[in-house]
Amino acid sequence: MTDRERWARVESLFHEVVDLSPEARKAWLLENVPEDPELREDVLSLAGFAGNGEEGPDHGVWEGALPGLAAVAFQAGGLDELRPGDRVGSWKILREVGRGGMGTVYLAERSDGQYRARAALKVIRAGAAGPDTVRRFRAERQILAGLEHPNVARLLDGGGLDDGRPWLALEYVDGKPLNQSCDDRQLGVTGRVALFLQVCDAVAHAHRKLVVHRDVKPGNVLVTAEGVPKLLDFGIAKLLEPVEEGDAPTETQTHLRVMTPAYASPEQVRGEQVTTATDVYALGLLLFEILSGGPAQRVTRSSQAEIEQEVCYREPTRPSARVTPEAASARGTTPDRLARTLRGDLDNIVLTALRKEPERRYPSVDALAEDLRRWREGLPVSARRQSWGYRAGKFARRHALPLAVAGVSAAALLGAIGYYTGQLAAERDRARVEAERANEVASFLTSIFQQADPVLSPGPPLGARDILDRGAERIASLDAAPEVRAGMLQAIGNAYQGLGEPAPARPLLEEAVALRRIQTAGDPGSAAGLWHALDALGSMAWETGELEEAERIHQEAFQRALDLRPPNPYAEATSRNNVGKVRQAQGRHQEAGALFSQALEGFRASRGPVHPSIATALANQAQVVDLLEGGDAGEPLHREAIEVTRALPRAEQLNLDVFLSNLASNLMGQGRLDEAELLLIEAMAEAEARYGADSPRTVNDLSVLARLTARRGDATGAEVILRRALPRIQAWLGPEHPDVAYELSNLAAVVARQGRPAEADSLHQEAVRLARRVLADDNPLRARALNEYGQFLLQAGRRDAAIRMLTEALEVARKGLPPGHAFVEGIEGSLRMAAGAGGA
Amino acid sequence: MDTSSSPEITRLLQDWRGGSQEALDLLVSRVYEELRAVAAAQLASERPDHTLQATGLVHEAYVRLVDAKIPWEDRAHFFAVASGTMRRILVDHARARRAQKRGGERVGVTLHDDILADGSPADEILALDEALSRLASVDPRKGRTVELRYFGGLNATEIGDVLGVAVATVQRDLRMARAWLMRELSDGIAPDTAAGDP
Repeated sequence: MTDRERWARVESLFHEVVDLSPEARKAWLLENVPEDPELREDVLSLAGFAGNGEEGPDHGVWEGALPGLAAVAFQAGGLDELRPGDRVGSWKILREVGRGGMGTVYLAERSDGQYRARAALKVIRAGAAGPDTVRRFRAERQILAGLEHPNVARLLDGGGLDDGRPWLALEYVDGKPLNQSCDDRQLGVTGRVALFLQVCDAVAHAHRKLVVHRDVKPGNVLVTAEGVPKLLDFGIAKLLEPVEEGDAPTETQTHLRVMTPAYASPEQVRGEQVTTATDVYALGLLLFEILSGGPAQRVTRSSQAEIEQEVCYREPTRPSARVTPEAASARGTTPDRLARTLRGDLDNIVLTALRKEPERRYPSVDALAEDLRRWREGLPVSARRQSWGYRAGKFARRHALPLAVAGVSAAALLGAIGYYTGQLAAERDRARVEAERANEVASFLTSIFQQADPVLSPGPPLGARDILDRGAERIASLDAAPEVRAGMLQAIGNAYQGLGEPAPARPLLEEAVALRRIQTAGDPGSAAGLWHALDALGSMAWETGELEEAERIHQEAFQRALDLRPPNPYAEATSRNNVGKVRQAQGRHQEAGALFSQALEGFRASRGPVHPSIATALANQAQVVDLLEGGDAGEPLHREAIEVTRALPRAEQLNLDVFLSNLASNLMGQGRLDEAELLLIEAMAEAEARYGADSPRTVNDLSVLARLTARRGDATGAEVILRRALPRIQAWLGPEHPDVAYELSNLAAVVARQGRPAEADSLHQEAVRLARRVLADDNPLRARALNEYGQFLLQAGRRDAAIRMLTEALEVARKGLPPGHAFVEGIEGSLRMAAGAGGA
Repeated sequence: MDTSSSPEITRLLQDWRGGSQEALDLLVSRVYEELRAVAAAQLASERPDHTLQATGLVHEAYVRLVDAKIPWEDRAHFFAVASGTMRRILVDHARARRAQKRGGERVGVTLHDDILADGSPADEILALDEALSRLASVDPRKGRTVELRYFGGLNATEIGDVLGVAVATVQRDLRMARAWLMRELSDGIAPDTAAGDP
């Protein structure tokens, strides 16, 4: 019998006996194949391996080990794995130590005999790296290799394998992930914060060197046996990013972009700009987890929509509300005590870092660390519950801006930018190279704005905001020297502020500061550039009402101004002036006054008797005097500011309208309403001529004029003005802007004064509805709208409704204002009156 | 891979069915490349819980390489090619890993060392490959059946169409082939043999 014949026989016998029991099989075979014991044995043993027939060909058992084997084969470039003994650059592979999302990790040691060093050598898997990744690696490696910090796993080396796959050699860290290590050692909250602060140090160090980590998470922080945390994989996520050529990202691309969805920030998920604020957010997630025991973001399924929902929209719960018994015992305490420790300041610190909008988080990792240190020492922290949806714009007086570019033509924009860059050149060293750089900045900006000129580049008309957005985009991809970049960033940042939109300016100005820091570190003679950038950033913070930050930045700027060599009294004076503005907003008027005075001297000494800065300082001083002394004390200062401004060339009289307006307010305070009115009209004409009829500066003057008119008892006139102003406010700021509520209340008041209660009532209701909708429940402006309506109702004799409204107003006012504040007491008084009017 | 490649693949498949050996060679090399690319792409979008399966890769490579509207038989033929290629890939890899073990220092821990008692999946793949080759030399049809099922992931109906046999035959083939392979790959002691001499 040939093999084949025998095989066929085995097969047919097999199928006969396979479904019988083992004993029955034996019997059957003995009976049917008596002559061939070997054959019987063969078939019997085969049948023994056949199983019970339920394991048919489509049964899962066939899938068995193969998926695992295939995975092994295809895993992380396993087909081209490195083997022990392989050489990569000047490293020798010792063994594989693991496989991660990015690729395979090997333990390697230095093989060029120079010194013993061990590294974790990461080979990035083929699919993850783009075609020119190796080239980009080389460029970025210098920066990453320059990160030297006790809590950062250093990048030692890197390159590309023959097949193009990039590799990195990192300091080998033998440790456990941060949260695991803390749990294993049962560290309490204080101990965890201490470790976390070291991590913050590491990230802050990298930020100073312009490296953003982009992928901070517990797995990337290993704690050694000695308890030292080390941060891994700095900036590697950026190296692996596929370079997108301006197409809108597709769903898949978003998946690729986000390394770990559970630890991603909203801007990463949306594919927006990643900045140092992104790392702040990630640190917030990390802090959340090591404090409370669970992750802040729970991404169970990985569909794009779900990730977006969780990361971009869902507000995180407070860490103290997420405490579990397991978490408490891993921290050596009880759930109650743990919650109490976390509640309040620590909660707020974490939540501040986790704000969805980058500009509302801590401005830097240092700020986050600082607040934690304050917590540790029992000092008050700067983190606050999220409250005001609207910053204190209305309560602050108008201030002088270097640029105001709302609603102007591109040509005017160019003119303004030119002025700014001219200033840049004037204020820095006169070295030729600096002047050249200023020119570079100017021509870049010119090119941006020329795009907006319909003559030069036809297309749909671009608003000023669009122009700036484009400019910001262009800068991001521009390959310019750091100093030039910084200058451009500052120019665009200032322009945003001029538009009244500080939020987009923040990342630009922060980057400008970072770039300038680097420049100054390498070339102390260029410190003036850093001062300028700090000054711009500080002013931006002031504008958004972030007074503590503004103070900190301006203080630093002031210090740097003092240290400038050759000495720069103009810079010193500017910083004094700006710190003064912060003090003013903080209500510390005496100090503000002193600072403005000193600034004025400095300006006069450095720029002579006629210069915009002098007018600014005078106007600021005047405001302080108005507030502290009242009456006519400030009037001469106001007038001097105007005089100085009028002595300037027309193109530099940028704030004439503001000074005229301020003088008008002063005269209103003195009761000289006619003169005030004339000045206001002049201010409006000036603003309209320079900034366009729809500029917000004109609108503000309208508001003041309306108030003035109302005060003169001319309710009709006031109504006319307000009805003119309202649609422009709505158009400019949007129908849901709080200023609209403010003016609606004003309009309601003058309408009521003219004896049209029904109309007034509906206007008040509109104002109240809007205020409730767009303002937070502790915002004094909301209280104002409610109060105005309450007062109206009181005067209309509708006592019960008035009491309800005033009660609501009081509640809001108490939440947002300190006790004893005049406004709060005013409402209290009204309520007492309303209650008392009921009699008995 | 863009779809402009699919008419070419279809043509190669048809040529192969018509008996062209050269077409088969070209097919194999195209499929090999494609499988590697698919695996790499899948890993690039890997999520933490993602597991690769050989059969999933083959299906994906099919979708990418071949126009879905081609005749059904060609699809099955594609899988036949792909399965064989997949087997080759795994075997090549296994050989490389085994050489690795003998070469420098001890290979460190990987994720799948728990698959076999002796700790090396590479050995199992090679043993399977060897046994399968032996099976195919005695019974070519069973050899191809196992390859299509194990490496290509086709079901009984699809296998029947590729090989031109009835589904029941496929099922019986698989049952015996599996028993035989298990015996070859084990230490020879059957799980349910009655005690005593046969």
